[in-house]
Amino acid sequence: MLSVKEVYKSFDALMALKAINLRVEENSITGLIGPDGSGKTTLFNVLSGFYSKDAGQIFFKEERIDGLPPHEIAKKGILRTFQITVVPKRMTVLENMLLAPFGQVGEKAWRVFLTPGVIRRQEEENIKKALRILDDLGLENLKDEYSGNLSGGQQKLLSLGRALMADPEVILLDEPTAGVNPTLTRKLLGFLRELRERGRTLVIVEHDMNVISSLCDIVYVLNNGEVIAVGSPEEIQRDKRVIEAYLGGRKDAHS
Amino acid sequence: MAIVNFFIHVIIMVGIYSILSLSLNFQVGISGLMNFGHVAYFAIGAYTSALLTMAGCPFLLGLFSGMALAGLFGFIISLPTASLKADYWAIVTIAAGEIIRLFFLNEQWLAEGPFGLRGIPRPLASLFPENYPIFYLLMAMFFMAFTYFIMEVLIRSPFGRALKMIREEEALASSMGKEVHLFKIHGMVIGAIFAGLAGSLYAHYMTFISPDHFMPIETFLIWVMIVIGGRGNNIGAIIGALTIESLYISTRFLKDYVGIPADILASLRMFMIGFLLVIFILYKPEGLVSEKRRSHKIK
Amino acid sequence: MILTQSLVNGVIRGGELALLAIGLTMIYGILKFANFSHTEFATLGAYLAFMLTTTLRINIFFSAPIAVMLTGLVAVIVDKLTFKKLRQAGSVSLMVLSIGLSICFRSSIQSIWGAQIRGYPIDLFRGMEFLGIRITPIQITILIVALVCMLIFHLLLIKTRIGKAMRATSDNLILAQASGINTDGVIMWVWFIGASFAAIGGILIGLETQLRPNMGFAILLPVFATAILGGIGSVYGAMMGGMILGIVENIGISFDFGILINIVGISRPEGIYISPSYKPAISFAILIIILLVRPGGIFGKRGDR
Repeated sequence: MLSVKEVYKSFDALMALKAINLRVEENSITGLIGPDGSGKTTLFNVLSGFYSKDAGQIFFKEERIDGLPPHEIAKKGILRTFQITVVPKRMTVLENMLLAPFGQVGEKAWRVFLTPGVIRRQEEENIKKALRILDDLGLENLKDEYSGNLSGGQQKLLSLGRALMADPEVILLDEPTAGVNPTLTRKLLGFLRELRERGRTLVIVEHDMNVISSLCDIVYVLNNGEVIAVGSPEEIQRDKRVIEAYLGGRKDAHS
Repeated sequence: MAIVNFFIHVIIMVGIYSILSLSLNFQVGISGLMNFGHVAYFAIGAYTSALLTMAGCPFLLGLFSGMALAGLFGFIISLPTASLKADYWAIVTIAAGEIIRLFFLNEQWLAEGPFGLRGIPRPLASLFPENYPIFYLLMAMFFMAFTYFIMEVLIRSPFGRALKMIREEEALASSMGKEVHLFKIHGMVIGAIFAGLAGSLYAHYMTFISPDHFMPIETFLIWVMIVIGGRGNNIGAIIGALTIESLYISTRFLKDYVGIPADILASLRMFMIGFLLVIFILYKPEGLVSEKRRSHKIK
Repeated sequence: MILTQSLVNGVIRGGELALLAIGLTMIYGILKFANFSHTEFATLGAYLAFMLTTTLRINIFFSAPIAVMLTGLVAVIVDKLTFKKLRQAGSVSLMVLSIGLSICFRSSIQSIWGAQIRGYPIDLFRGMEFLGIRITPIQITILIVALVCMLIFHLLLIKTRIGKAMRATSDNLILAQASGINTDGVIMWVWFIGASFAAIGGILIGLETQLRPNMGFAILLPVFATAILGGIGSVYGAMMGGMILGIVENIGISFDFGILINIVGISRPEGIYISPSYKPAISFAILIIILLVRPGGIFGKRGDR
């Protein structure tokens, strides 16, 4: 569904991504792991259009999407969350949710005056949907709270809820469980599985191997900007190169 | 009698400046666009409406043309928005505003240059031979209410919501599919259109305009209004306009009671404006009225 | 030749612009905001010198340096009282603050000295003819003073410890702090020197033309254009940018654009000129073009936004 072919990305002298080849199957959960600085977030940024690549091609459903600006990629059905959760702080949780759906007629200024009825109906539908999702996530009672006042874990749930509102086909999740307590994490994982049931495709960057093991069908391991291993969670956990990459990293930290 | 006329004058000016304040607030406070050349749209609206009506066009045509041209200029200015940092773009807006003023100043064949345009016709003057100022006051109030209404509707709409998100977290908005550049252009154009409206009202009330009325200090004056009133807040914008205009005009009275010559009084007035701006930015940057929290009513 | 005269006028104007732009670009580079009140230091310096010369009857050779020092001091105090409080605020808040301060400066000066044009009580030396170019002793003074100032500043940056500290702070504030440089002290000196140079520029402009309360504000955008053209934060860029802009401004209004039309075959005997009153518009147009094409300026990084 999503395929990355021979993608390179460098920043001045630093080669952040080298000959990246990746295939994401429809309706799967793909994991992306690797030590810090291995290029995971960079890859996400390239995939979602925030960085331009130096070479290579990216296909989404047989269509090339590399080079498109972020909002175009989002409209094609690929959404992402950020490693450090970003929320518009002075907007309420409900407003956050209402920002997400595509094709809101009311977002065109002149239609606000020309077709108010259509907009009102869309708003009502969206509000109902938003409240349902917030309820599932356990955030309904916070709907009128400024999102900046939420805890870190709640903000993570909110950004997931936002992504759900938009009904994307692919969601790129950058460390969705970082800083989230175990109870919330279990809830989150349940959601992500449910998303897969509903036909969505997920790509997850994670450090927590438990999350990877319990969720992912296939895992790509990155190190120094290169893919060093691909396989099921069990396979890559036993892979020598992967163990070296992680252990090697830790050794450097201590020396 | 003179007191009543004076108050009518003050309220008309408050009305006009409220529209300017509301329109700049839409750009700065809602859309997050740091526009420091707002006076340009004011000038374009004023000159366009004046020139057209002096050439025989009806008032409403002049008014709408002024608004349209101002909007067009706003569109042109906002085109490079996507590629410039906020403060660089702010400098561009000032430079562009000055170019407009210099244009009107130098192209004497168009608008009499430094001598200004005199005898701008007053709409419906023949219907109200006496008490014309009261009619104009009502018209100014009507347009102020109209502007406020439009702004409020836009802000509460999904359009306004998207603008606010772009103002707060632009990258996030982009990643969620909002075409940021397009929204910013809309924000600029809408603000510009209403500044043009204010310009037209100004021209037909004063019946005389010249490039001196459109110096950069006018933009800064409107900025003080929205900083004091509270950015992103329509009521605040009107209160800011009310406060500053009242202070501005009422200090003119001092001339008669205190023995200070007029031009020194003028610069003291200016100093007060600058001082207020400094104090508010340092100690009360959110202004007098803060942005309302939007809570939705569920059926 | 008109073109050489324009060149000379341009270089002189360039010196003035450079003197004012040096301080602006340094502050922009280190503190990361556009200080719209910077050129008011020029006005302040000019008027302080005026006051010392006329009211206290001190000779201009002494009143000028004193006025320059005083202005530098004022800048340091203003920073401590206002800008310092907003160090962590966004660049826009600082910009708005500087606009408020510029209004305060300008209107105070106007309140004290009035809106009318003033001049230094200096004998007007007659202009001289030199190889076909008209030039006055004051203009020569401007050139010499500007060059000397830039030379002294260059030596300061290269040879002295404070100069090296300035360069380090300008490159990377955090790194400089981490290296043990007293960046607060450096910032104080940058304000002092920047404002002093602006004051020198203001006095020179006052000597060349006249003193008006809005003389600083009138030159604000051209000074910004200079700083941006040269690359924000680059002092040498400001110097070069000043020269380029000064020359382009003057040539721009004396250049007969009819020559270009003649190439196409149309003749316009009276020539096509940009009206001199559009002179400031030339620097505005250049400013806009630079920001659109290469915001980093001459010495900035390509695509620096």
